[in-house]
Amino acid sequence: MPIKQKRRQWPHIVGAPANKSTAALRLKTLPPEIVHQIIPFLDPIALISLSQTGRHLRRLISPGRADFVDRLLALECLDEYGGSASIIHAHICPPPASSSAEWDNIKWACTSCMRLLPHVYFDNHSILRFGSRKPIPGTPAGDVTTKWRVSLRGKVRGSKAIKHIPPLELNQRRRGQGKKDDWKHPANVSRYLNRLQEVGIAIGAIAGDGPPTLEAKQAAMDQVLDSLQCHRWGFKRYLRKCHECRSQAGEFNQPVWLARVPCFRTSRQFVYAGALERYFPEYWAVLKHQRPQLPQDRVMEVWTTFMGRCHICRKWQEMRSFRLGLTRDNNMEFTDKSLDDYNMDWFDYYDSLECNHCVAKTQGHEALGKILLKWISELISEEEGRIYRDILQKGFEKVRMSLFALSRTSDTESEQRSQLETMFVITPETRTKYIAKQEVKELLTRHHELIKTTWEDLLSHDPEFSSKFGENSSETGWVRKLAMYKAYWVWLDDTSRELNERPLALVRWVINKR
Amino acid sequence: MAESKPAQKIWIRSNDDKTFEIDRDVGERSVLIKNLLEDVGDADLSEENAIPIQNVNETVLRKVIEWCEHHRNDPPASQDEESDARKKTTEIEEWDQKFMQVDQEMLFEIILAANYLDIKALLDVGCKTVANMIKGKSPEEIRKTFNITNDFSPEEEEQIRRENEWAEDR
Repeated sequence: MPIKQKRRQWPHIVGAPANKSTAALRLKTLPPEIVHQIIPFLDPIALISLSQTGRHLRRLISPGRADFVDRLLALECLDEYGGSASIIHAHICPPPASSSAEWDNIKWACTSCMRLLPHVYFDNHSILRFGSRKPIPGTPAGDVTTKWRVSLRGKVRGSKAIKHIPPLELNQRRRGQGKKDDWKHPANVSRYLNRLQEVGIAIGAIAGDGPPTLEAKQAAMDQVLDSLQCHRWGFKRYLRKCHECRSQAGEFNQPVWLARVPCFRTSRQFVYAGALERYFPEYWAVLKHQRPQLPQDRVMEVWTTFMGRCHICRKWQEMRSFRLGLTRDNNMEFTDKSLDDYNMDWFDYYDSLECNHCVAKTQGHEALGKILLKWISELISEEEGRIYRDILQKGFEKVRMSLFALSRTSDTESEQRSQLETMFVITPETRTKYIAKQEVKELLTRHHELIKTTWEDLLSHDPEFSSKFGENSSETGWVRKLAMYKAYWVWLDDTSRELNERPLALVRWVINKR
Repeated sequence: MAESKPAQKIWIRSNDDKTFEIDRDVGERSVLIKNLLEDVGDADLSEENAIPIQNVNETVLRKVIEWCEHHRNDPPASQDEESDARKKTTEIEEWDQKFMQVDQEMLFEIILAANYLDIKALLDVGCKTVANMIKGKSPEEIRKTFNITNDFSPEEEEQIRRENEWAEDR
């Protein structure tokens, strides 16, 4: 007879939560361990919002500085608060013009003063380098789930943060030094790209000659870029600080004698057509004479901008707002005061710097207009000289030499050729004569139409002429661009005249531009 | 041709004494039930000796069973509780979204039951649903949604105002 086994009972489950009254079940009354399970699914913005609903949830979440930093970094990525960052999402994007409204509307987070601020408050590196960029929404880098964890309260940053850095960056850090010669190494590619990013030069410009091919380099760079864009953009944003916070933290190594104006900080680099455009970008917007098309052979230059804080209004502004002009080699070229006249040294001068806005308030618009007019007149004159030297004089002399060479070797008599030679002052006595600025001006304003018509006629009817000056010759190209040079030259003259008549237009421009 | 073996049944009982007969693999979506079955053995499985689910009532248990039946063939969840993949996405499958279209009280009951029964995937779906209800809302809107009373003192309100100064011009 089988032994009857005693039926085993299901064990009482130890640790089961007490039965709750379902009538009162709300978010607030959920056990903390359940709320802790919900929180990691929130984004940083929602986390802080939840913590600001009531005391219970605030105690439970107890948001720390890292959580507020994460919220600010999430906010800067929202169009509503940080502005549309689509213009900086391209692989290689030239920095937008300093006056671009779209650029001015974008804001970045300063994780020190915890504000969203426009670009004037940051240097290039803080907003354009890959590690500091706003990540593209929808990419892994753009993931904005909170890092809040019960076990990591207050420890998300620092030593724990290193765990979140994907292997690519760790490799860069650990092995970057030993890979200097390997252009494919992400550390090196990143370095190239960062430079490109800042100045907006085409990617091919740095690829150079020799193997591997340019295409191979571009393909490799594109690959690295895609990877960076998806996974790495913005990983160092939590380190971003504005000029003011860096200045106050002593990061600028500010000399003690600069008591009031923090030293000017290197800021973004822009491509300008010379000093005139660098210090008065698009000033013609307030003039009757709008700038014509810039001559194509006007060499564009990369200029570094500098930011300083006015000791009166405390706004950070570009150096041009303080009426300080540097050359591209950073040598002082223009100041609004003669130090001898004012019996001051450079220390005093820097200390006395005020922005245009404050000068207009304290000394009046007319005083400001006078100094701005002096400065811009110098720059216009310099620009005229540059166009004359670099484009007109060189082109003129090249054409004259070529025409002279043709007349010496040719037996053909041509009235049109003689006409051209007259216009280009070709005689045995003058052919080597240095052409003066006034003569170039004459040539441009009076004869350019005739030169162009005669040149085109000779090209179509004179076989000897057309074989020497074909469609692709630099001389023909120069002659065809004479109208453009003339328009630009005349515009410089007109704008100078108009500014002399209406200097207050310039004052309005600088004040509105801040 | 091999005949497919009929699914082994187990019985579970809600705290209001309603017994459910379910397939063993459905029940084993719950780690709690799975461990109990392993500990106690199969010999004692019967309708009369149903496994007591002490903290879950009939209505909620029915919902939980419905979820477990739908997900009976899902691969086992990762043991890594802090798995980034799990934490990073707040996307919810379409079926689960419909499943979670219940009133708030029921939603919280399901979450509590999932926690008690140790059904991680269901707990995640519930938590994600609540998280999605919070996202994109201001503190005031969250208070309204979840019926939370603003019990901050004036000093605490001032502290919160300072926390939200990020948008103000410097």
